[in-house]
Amino acid sequence: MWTRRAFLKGSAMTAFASTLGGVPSFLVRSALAQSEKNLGIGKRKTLVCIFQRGAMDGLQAVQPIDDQNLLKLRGDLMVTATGGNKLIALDDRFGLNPLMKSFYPLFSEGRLAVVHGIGSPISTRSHFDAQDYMETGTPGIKSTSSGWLNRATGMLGHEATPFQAVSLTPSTPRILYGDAYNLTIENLDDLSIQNQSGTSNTAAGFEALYRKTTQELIQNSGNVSLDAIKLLEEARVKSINPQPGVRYPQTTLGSSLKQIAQLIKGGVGLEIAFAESNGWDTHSRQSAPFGGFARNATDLSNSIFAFWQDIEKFQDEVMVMTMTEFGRTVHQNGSLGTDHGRASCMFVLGNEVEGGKVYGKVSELVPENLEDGRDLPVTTDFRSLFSSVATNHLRINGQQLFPAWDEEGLSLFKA
Amino acid sequence: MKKLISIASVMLCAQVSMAQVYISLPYERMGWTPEEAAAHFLNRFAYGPKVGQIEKLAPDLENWVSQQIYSEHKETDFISNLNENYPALLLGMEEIGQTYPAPGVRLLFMGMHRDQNNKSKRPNFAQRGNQRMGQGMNRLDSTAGNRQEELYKRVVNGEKNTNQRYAMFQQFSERRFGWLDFEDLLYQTMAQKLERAIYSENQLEEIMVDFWFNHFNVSLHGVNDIATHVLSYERDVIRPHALGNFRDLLGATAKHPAMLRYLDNNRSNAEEDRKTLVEASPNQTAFMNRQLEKNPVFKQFAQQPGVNENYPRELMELHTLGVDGCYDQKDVEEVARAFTGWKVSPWIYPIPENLKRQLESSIPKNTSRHIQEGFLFDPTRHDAEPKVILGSTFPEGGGVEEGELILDQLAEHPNTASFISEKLAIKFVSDNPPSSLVEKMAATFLESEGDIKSVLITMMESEEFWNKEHYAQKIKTPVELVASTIRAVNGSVTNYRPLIKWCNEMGQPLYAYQAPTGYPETSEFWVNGSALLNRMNFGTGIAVGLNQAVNVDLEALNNNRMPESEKEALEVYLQLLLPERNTKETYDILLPILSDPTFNNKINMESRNPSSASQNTLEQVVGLIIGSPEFQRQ
Repeated sequence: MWTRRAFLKGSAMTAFASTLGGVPSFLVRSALAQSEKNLGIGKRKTLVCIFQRGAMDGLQAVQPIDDQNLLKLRGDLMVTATGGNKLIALDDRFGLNPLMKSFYPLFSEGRLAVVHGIGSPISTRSHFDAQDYMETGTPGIKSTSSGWLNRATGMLGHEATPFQAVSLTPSTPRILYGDAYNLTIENLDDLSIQNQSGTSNTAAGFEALYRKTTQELIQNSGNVSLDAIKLLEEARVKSINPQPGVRYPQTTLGSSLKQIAQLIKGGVGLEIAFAESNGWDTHSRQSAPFGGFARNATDLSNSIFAFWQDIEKFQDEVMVMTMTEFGRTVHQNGSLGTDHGRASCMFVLGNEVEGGKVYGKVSELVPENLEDGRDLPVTTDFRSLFSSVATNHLRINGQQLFPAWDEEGLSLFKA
Repeated sequence: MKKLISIASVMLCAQVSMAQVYISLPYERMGWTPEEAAAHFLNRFAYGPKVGQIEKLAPDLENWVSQQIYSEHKETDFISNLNENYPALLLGMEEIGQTYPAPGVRLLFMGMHRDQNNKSKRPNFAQRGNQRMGQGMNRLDSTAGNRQEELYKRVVNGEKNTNQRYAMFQQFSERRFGWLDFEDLLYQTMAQKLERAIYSENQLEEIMVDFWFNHFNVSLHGVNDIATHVLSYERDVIRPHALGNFRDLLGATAKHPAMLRYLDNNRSNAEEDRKTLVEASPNQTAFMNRQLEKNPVFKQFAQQPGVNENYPRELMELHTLGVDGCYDQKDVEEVARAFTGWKVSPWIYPIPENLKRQLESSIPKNTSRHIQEGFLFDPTRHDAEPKVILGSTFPEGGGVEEGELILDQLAEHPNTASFISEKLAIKFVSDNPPSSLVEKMAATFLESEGDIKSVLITMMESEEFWNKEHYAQKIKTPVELVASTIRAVNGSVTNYRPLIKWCNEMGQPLYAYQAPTGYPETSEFWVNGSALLNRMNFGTGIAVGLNQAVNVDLEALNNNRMPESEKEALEVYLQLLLPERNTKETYDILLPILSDPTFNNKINMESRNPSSASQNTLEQVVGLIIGSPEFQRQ
């Protein structure tokens, strides 16, 4: 049985440390042998962040039950509390959209929490700006060069593998921009030296070139990349199958989470993972059975549920958090959809979470309580949740992670 | 040796002769051979040497430099080819917006166009627009408005949209409204960049266009707001001034829709309690309020009172003065007040005729109003109260000229001179440029009032530039790698889509760095994550022509002679692809592996005939060279 400890001992694994705000400093390979005892397998926490791009309608996902104001403003979008396809009650006030029924067991077991009325202090209704602010963690300031997950990576402050921070996206997301080393790879299969000229020693040639070059920067980074391939091979990550009975949806998110599970189960040192769920901009047919919301809500909850079962033995070390740039109008629009609004809701899943609760403040949905008379107001700053998760799960200083933010983090962790 | 350069051009072109300068490159004194100097120039001021180019330029390098600085190559055939391949290049900025509207814009305006034909009803644009937007969405669902992220992903990977419904929607929009394929516009934007980088004779201009675009970055991540205008931003704002005057460049970026949208100045308005330059007419306000009340969907598009500080902050921090402030938050706020009312012109949208008339009448007829090529100064949104900015007092009643004065002030500030000079030196000289060089360049910047040519010449003429320590030390960006590879193998590109995809996979999605900082100029950034692996894979891919996207004839590079052994192939092609470089390390590492008998046997076993064995070996050698650490450097 392969273990990471054995791998580290047996190969010339390169490790590197990242420093906050600095250039990633790659440690020379010999440094690792000495620090090996600090790299206890299984002790690393993993945070999986899922960005729901396009702005999820939080009220459609987690809806106040039998709310008369809501009935007036979005009668066609309401899910009723009774009948065949009814809302799943989470507490006295809120019900879960039945499309997300996969979330319910996690919620009732007390591992999944909902934070409602969450969003940005900046009221922009542009996807681009709002996503930018949520990913830099500096609402209102465009020039922040780094993303907050990158800063978090830099603050972890211990030796790491090339898989410390991984984004399963086509290009590096804003949230991972910055100096700390990270890997963007949509498909783990692409992490290899491809051989296209029909000869066998290309990989050997590149390996020698990059390991032996005297150019320090290229050598360091080349070593990390080559080690990443080796680590992936020796941990047989690509052939780690989902647990029996676990079925991921055949979607981008499903595939991303499946690969994140492979990295976790392979023990290759994953601490921060990022994935995307696209297409939440439901201006039309929001309640249609096969419309955008239905597809996405089913995909999100089924993918996360499959992931959670798949990493069964690692659940104590893993936390999943969703985020979305803003919510949508409380009233429905002319095409049975909703337009860009303010607050939405986010899901947090983990064994440390005091789950089974809907956190946050959602006032009665009368016009005078709505922002600009139309939107669910933001009552919880997203930084309050993000910093709390960083502090409690990643064990870093969550306040320091967000410049100009010094408020208490949202309290949703078990004591 | 001082030498008057470009005598021929003096006779041919009066305009150029006006600006003639002596260029003296001290490379010999600093211990460089003319060939090394030519190689260095081709790597830093061009997208790499083509086979035989160094020998051609070395005897008269100063002449080549002058031609490059003055973009002297007319390239009539090349340009007309580009225009044919990328027809959007022939459309004006407003025409592009009207011809290639983004999906969201399309859906919104469809409803308005419909109303134009519906004379029986008094149009309620907001409501109809919203309805149509919804109905359009119903028809299109996943193909247009709802899926910006998928569109973005396709575009940066150079993929064509093959969705049937998208094709139907596109045909309908073209037939009914004359709108052309938006995703094709973005493909044209990217492909023309790569084509110019590889094949244009005015290589320095291309390098500078890339540099300034990145300095004044905008991103096509903003699919509906920004992407449509990126082609025009580069062509009309960056390119004409890339080797011109900094103040002109700065001013052009400030007024272009791409920048006005990207950094939100379009939404920057005088605060509610401030006196504006011109009072908005009560009728107009009432009209707007009625529309908004009927249809709150438009609230997200409507202009609200309130200053937006994004552009002013980046203007100072990223575009001019730099971060080590000689300004504070108060200055940002005051500058922001001065730029209130700087907006995009509505004529960049495909607006139906009747609404156009209505809009035209809603913009106050007043001498203080400006509307030109995508820019609108709206005096009813401009804060006209007094301001104190960076020590200067702006009296009450100022208009659009306030912003212009601030741009003047910022462009001639010594901090700007240093900040820009340092960034240029990092790009062209070293990740850690000597401060003595930056000071010289900054002095020229100030003396010449921001003449970019003069600053570059000061840099090229300096001894610091010719310090041999800098030779082949910078890491190529992915775009530089792609272009320099195709130039080196004399490839002919038949399909740019795979090249666009490779740029993304190696970490440089084209026109898509989301942050206003632009891509970092230093080397570390480009070797992060899986970038180096992808560079290796690009090397082996290009050697076999990227599945016919690029025609490469490796034998032809060597006068149609196939090398007889791995050793010969390595020797010959290292010389051809990495001229004037010390390739001993690469050679010494690769030779034993290439001549390892275990591998050789495998080669022979795998190949069906002997000639294919040698072709395979050659492809492998070239792939290894292009993917090697040495080829990543410039």
